[in-house]
Amino acid sequence: MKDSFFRSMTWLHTWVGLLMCWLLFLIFFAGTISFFRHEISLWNQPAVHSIDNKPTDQKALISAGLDYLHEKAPEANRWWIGLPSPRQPEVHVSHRHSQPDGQRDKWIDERLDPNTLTQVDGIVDTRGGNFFYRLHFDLHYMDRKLARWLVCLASLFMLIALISGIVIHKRIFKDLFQFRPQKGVRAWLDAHNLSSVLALPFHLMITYTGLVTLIFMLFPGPANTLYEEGVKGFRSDFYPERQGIEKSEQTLNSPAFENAFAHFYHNWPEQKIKRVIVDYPTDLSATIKIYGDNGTLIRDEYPYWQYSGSTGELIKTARLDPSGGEVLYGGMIAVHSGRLAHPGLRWLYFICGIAGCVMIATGCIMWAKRIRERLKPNQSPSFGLKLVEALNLGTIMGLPLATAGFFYANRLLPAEVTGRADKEILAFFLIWLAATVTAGLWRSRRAWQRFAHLNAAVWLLLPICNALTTDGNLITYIMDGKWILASFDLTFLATAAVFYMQGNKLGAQPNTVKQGSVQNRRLGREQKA
Amino acid sequence: MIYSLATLLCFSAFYAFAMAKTSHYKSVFGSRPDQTQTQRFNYSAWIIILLSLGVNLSQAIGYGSLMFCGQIALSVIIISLCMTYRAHWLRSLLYVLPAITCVLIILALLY
Amino acid sequence: MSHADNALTFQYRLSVTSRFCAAILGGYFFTAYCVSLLSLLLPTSKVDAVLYSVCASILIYSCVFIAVFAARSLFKVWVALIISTGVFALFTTYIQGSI
Repeated sequence: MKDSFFRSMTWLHTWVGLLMCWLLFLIFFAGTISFFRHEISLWNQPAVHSIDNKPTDQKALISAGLDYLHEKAPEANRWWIGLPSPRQPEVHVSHRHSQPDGQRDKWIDERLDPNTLTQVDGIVDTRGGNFFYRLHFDLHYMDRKLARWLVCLASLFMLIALISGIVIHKRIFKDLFQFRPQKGVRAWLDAHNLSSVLALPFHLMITYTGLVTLIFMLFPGPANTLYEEGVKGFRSDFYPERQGIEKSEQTLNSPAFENAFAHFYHNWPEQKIKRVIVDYPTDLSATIKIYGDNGTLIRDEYPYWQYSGSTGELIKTARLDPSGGEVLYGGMIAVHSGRLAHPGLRWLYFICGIAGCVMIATGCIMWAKRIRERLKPNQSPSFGLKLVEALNLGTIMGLPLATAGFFYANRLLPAEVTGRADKEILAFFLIWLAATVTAGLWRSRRAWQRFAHLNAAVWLLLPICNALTTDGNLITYIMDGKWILASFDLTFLATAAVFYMQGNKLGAQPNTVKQGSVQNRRLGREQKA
Repeated sequence: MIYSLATLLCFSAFYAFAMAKTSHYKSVFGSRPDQTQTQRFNYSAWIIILLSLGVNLSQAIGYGSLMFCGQIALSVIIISLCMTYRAHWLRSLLYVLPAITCVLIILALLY
Repeated sequence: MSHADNALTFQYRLSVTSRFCAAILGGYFFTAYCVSLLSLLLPTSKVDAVLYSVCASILIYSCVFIAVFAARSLFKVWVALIISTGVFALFTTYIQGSI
């Protein structure tokens, strides 16, 4: 579109990057946090903090779970037993009940302490890490379908920005370690280059595979061409385990659960189990589905075994030996969700995600700075520039603030409040809104500095708030070896420190940047074109 | 254990990559490197990074390569931050890094 | 002078909008028909054919997107996109009909 490929790509990089950058920042931010989805759910639920998380005998837990559900919810249409993992100490025993006249089925979630096999008391109503997980593709308060299309478009723009970014950054490895914080706009450019290059494989991977997770909404074409029923037909072929089971309406007098498990343990003694689902547990059509754990294999769907509940026979298995397409597709989704990651890799994922956030944030800031520098002394900034600046400040500084607000709300809202989970989320969005409105009125460098210091204060007080409202604190966590909870407090403190230093840096730099320097002109090249 | 060895190797490789650059070498050691030194840093960097990749992949192909990408990011962040704010810290690493690597290799062989 | 400037910016804006439309919508339909055809041509099982072609779709889409912006003439871009999408669609229906 411009006279050379290089200049077209520079132009494309700027505009594709800018158009959706705040949405992208939200997606990246929430997505990065949701690598710790289960950990956040754990943190948000102080009642389960005291559970001793040690490896337990799965056989005993499963039979205890089945007994519990048999006593508690024999009329349910589905039982769901989620076994403990290093990331989640408690046993989930949930049951689903049919509702009259076509309403959606109702899930009741209960949790058992794996050591005592009794129900955990004091569970509060919270969405936990699932809130951030859903936020990063469903965008809360929004029509789900529209939100997902928007997220897809934003991710596509991100992918294009990444590719064009690689093209225009010719000296990609030459100045890899370069970061010159003293040099005004140059510092932002260095931070932008550094954060994108150092995690480039991650950025490309996470964006591409992120699009692949929504691919059947985006491109239903192949499924529609090959299957009469389209995506639905494809799904029934690809996910045999998700197909509904016909209820027979005859009561099951002698369930053969034990025979089924005996067969399973005999034939696959080494297999770790992820979860067990029983459909129509007291009906003659009862079916037991056992889902195996993938461990660190790069696979998305779990291998599974389906047994008849009335006879205890093995009906079918799937995914014990996945095909090529399944390995490719499942592998892409698995590396995106990072479910396979042990703590070490999980932290590396997190660091790369933060690098992505920094990349987007510095990109947005640089754009606004360049435009502002090119303003003539008597020229007032345009509406567009004001909007960009306000959204930059409101999003980049407001989202961390809102996240802290979400954690505070979790600790400070009384347990009895109705709709508590929604109120936590409301707190998140209200704080974000307040930050954006403030940013709209007041967007100077001073405002950035104040926001950074406010963030530092808020994140610093969070461990203290946690210590006052729960039984544990950082010291007891470390003494008891509860590393997940300890790393929450340490991460909060580290976040506070980073914001504090950033605030000081913003205060120290001069308010005006020299105009017309060679570097700035070089940076502004794409705008002129 | 093995993965921390791989991380250390990856970090050493990027340390060597950084030292192979004249400006970075100068800010760390205060003097200009000569041609042979630069070349040596470059070669050892490539050898060490391939070693790191090999160690990662020896554990598991898929998981190992994910780890490798993450380790690269971590190493570059640490090196760049040190280079910017505390360049002289990197001086002692020239001896410390091989020493720790040797200790880790011995520990990995023992256990 | 300012009049000429305005005219230029209007034309410029129109061409930019048109290019974005070509990249996003044109690229979308091009990719959609391209992967449909691809899934028909792949000599694997049905499930695998669908999975391989959807996994490739993003790669195709982003290549088309970049190509639209790299190309000199916007007119040629539109013509190429429409013709190739039409050809893909025709082939897809033809193969589907003949099976």
